[in-house]
Amino acid sequence: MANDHNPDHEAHGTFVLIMIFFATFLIYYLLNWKFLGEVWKTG
Amino acid sequence: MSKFRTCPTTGFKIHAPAETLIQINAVTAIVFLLVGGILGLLMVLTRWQAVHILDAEWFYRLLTLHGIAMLVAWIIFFEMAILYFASAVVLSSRLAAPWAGWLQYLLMLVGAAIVAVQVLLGNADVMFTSYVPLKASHWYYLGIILFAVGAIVGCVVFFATLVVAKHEKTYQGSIPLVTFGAMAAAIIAIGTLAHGAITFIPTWLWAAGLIPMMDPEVYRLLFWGFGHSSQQINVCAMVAVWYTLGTLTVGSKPVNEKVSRVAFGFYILFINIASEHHLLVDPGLSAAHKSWNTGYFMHLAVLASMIHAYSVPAAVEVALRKKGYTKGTFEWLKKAPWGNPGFSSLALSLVGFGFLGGITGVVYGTEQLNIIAHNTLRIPGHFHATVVAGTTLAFMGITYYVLPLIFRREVAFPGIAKLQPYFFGIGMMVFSTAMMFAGGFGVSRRQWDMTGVEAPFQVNFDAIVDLTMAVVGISGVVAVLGGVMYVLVAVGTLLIGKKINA
Repeated sequence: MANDHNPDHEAHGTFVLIMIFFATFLIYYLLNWKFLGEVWKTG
Repeated sequence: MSKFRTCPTTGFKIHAPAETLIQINAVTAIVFLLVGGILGLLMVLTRWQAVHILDAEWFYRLLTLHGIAMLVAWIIFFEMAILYFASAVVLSSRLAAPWAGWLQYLLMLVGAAIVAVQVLLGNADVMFTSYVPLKASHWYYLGIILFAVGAIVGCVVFFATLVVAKHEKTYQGSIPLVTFGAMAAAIIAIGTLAHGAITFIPTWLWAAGLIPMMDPEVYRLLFWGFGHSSQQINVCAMVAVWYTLGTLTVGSKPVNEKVSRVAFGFYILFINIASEHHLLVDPGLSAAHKSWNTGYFMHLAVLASMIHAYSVPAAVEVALRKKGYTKGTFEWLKKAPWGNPGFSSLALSLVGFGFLGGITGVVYGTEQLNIIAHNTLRIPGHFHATVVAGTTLAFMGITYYVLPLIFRREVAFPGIAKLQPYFFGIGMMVFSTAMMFAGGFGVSRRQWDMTGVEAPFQVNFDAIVDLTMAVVGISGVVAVLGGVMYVLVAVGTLLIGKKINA
């Protein structure tokens, strides 16, 4: 099996940071939909 | 024959007229930053209800000037310096038509001076957006037009310098990424300033009594083609500075330069359309129109920012791992040069722009969610994260390299320089977060007195709002202190910094 390790693309730490970014975004996005639902009730 | 010198550190051939224009634009930018920062302090100490130092008239007047000084004058003068640096210096070329560079500077300076005088005289209490039918003195609009024309001239000099460099073969292959980013900024600037012209020239004629009316709906639509796109010039310039700081501080190279260039292309194509998120509560536009522009096109511009926000730290990580910091996931981050103000500015700017400004921008720019954020303190909280904690901090970071390279002086007060990005960056991030938190409780933006003392009804906010506004006040003062430290280091370097022979 070929060795696909490329030091020019070794950025696990950045990948983890980006995942934290996405999680933060998701939480904030959903929270705001919740806030909207509380002030703008439908049905 | 024009005079060149060769920088012993970078090897750039630096054209003397380009160097002078970079110096004069950067110094003028810092003067406006100082003025805008003092006004910002007054804003903070007025919105902090326990202090509340300005009366209503001066609050709105100085808020107008704070917006103009910071969002327009500081940023665009500094961007002119970046355009000349990214073309003439980075490409080791002569600057095309230095006289036009001086025309740019004089037009912008005269324009900014007219605007400032008109606001201080009380002839333009129209806030940054100057929405019609609010009417300022026609001199105010003329000042903005002169400033914009000056900026267009600067962009033309930039493009002409790219042509000169290509023609005279001062570089090989494609232009470097930093120049490419500056070029994207200049392309957006031309479109933005064209919007400014079609917005402000008729408004100027209307204010002078030469045409009978301005349509407010059309004004708002066109204004944001200018008002928001101008912030995207900042974003492009800031991202170009991020890549430059990565290279200068840790020797990083873009992980995939083609992808980064495509991301700059997304900015050019989509950001102008996405500007319409400012109009999400505007009654004159259809829901479908708003949804298309902000729900689809806006996210293509956001995608560009996300590509850069991944690419820049990844490039830094790769560079630091190559230096041997390979242990675990985050040794590279722990061992990064946190004492270098260029690096700490880069890191804090990325966090401020990406985490705080980026996430909140997407949420507040969503059509349905905008209804609970529009005109609240959440919005200035968002853009202080992007433009101040992001762009301004990145520009501050690059200054620590521009001072020795272009002004040929060692940075004065290195201890203060080391701490400055932390005071400014962390202060501004706490400030933005606290503003957004208070806005979540309904605290209005652009409001002199949130308690409604002179209103026909009382406004009772949750008790936590008072605490939050105190945090806004304290963190704002800390950020202003960081700004004062920056000005002290920059001015101190020019006056007493040790000369570098080059």
